[in-house]
Amino acid sequence: MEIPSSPSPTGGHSLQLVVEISAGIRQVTALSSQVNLVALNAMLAAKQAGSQARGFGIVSGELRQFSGQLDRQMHELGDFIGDLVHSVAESARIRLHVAHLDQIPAAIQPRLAGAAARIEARQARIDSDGSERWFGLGNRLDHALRLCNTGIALSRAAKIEAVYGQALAASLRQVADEIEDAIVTILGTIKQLRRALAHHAG
Amino acid sequence: MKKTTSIFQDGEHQWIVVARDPQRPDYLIDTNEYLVMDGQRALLTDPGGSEIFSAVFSALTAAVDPRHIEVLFASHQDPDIISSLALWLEFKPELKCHLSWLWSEFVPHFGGRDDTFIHIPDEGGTIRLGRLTLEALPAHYLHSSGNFHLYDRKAHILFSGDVGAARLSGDYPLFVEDFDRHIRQAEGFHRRWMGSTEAKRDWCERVSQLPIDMLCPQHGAIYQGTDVMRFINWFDELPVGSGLRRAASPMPAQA
Repeated sequence: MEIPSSPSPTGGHSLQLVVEISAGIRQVTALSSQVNLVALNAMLAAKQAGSQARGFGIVSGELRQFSGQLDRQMHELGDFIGDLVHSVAESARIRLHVAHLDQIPAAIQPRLAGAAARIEARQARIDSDGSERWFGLGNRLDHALRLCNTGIALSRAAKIEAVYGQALAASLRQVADEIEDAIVTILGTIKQLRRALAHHAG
Repeated sequence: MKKTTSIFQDGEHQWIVVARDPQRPDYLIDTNEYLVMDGQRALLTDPGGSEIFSAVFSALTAAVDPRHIEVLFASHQDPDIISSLALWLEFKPELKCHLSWLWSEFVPHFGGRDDTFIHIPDEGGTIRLGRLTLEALPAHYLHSSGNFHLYDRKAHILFSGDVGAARLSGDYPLFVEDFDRHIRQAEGFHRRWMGSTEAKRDWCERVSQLPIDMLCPQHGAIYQGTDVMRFINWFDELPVGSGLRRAASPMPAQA
């Protein structure tokens, strides 16, 4: 990932991106709950079906674990975004201070050199923190992408196991399709967020 | 981070409170922000000070899309009410801010341009938000000399700014649970900050005639049900402008 070497052009643009990512997180969390619920029903259905659907039941259990992990990742991402907003807001506040200082006539500015230097140092520190946080956000989204790929593999395994469900094969296949659709949508959402972040960094 | 809680919902009409920040430094007074929504159009009351912008923005963003906020409502001019204005405008430059005409040349020191502000005349007025018509009710001298509350006639909710405020610990319940206990924590604040008996009586007279299910202050807990009228009656009888005579009572640092 490319790390922005300097803060974003405006705090507003960064906040818009934060809002976009938060909306994506809400969407992923809702879909993850859906996967969890469908996988739970699938586990119960597989249990009732007996030994024929044992494999399907095991995969459904793993899909539930996947949705739990994804849910935790999204929750952590939400907390992380709170810190990111703090950096963006601080950076915007300092830029406003700098803009006010810049309006002071040049002849008087040397008298404020100490204050200007302190503000500049603070801005550099906050922007550096901000850059690290944007970078960390990219890493977290990459983790979520990897987890989703595992989820896709599990949903495909569920489709294979559904074949062995004999009389229940068609309904198990339908459940597996539903889970796969949800995970593919999750994957698409996270990829979109990743692209938006890369565009911001670029 | 602050938390959001939906306190009213009727279809697309919703009130969400943003409150209780466990990470807030002790030297900053805790505040409640209320988001009034009609579908994808939203108004934010007293958006808060610049120090808490990130806490409010993060909490809102986790629950709703803050791009839907079209309008800010500032009950008065204090820094804990509206000093975050410049940061909100950084996020959305076209935001409009409704506030008393009295502060038209004061609040721009926090940010905004002439076209940011919609001045509310002393007699109050209405604010359209989608299909909702919200009412800016005069509450002058309670405590600010140019002060408004926001009434939602459809939801029966009154945003009451500093009236009803209490300084409480971070883990205090969102709603008043024991009125008698709670009101002791509100008393010192009202005695000192509310300076006009005449204004207080007038306000009590007017709001007591409104159907109000929830009275939502900017600080502390929300009054609901019968506690609303209990508060109005209590406030009506409270001697105000007398905080100095009760110097033994600890006073909050800022309203």
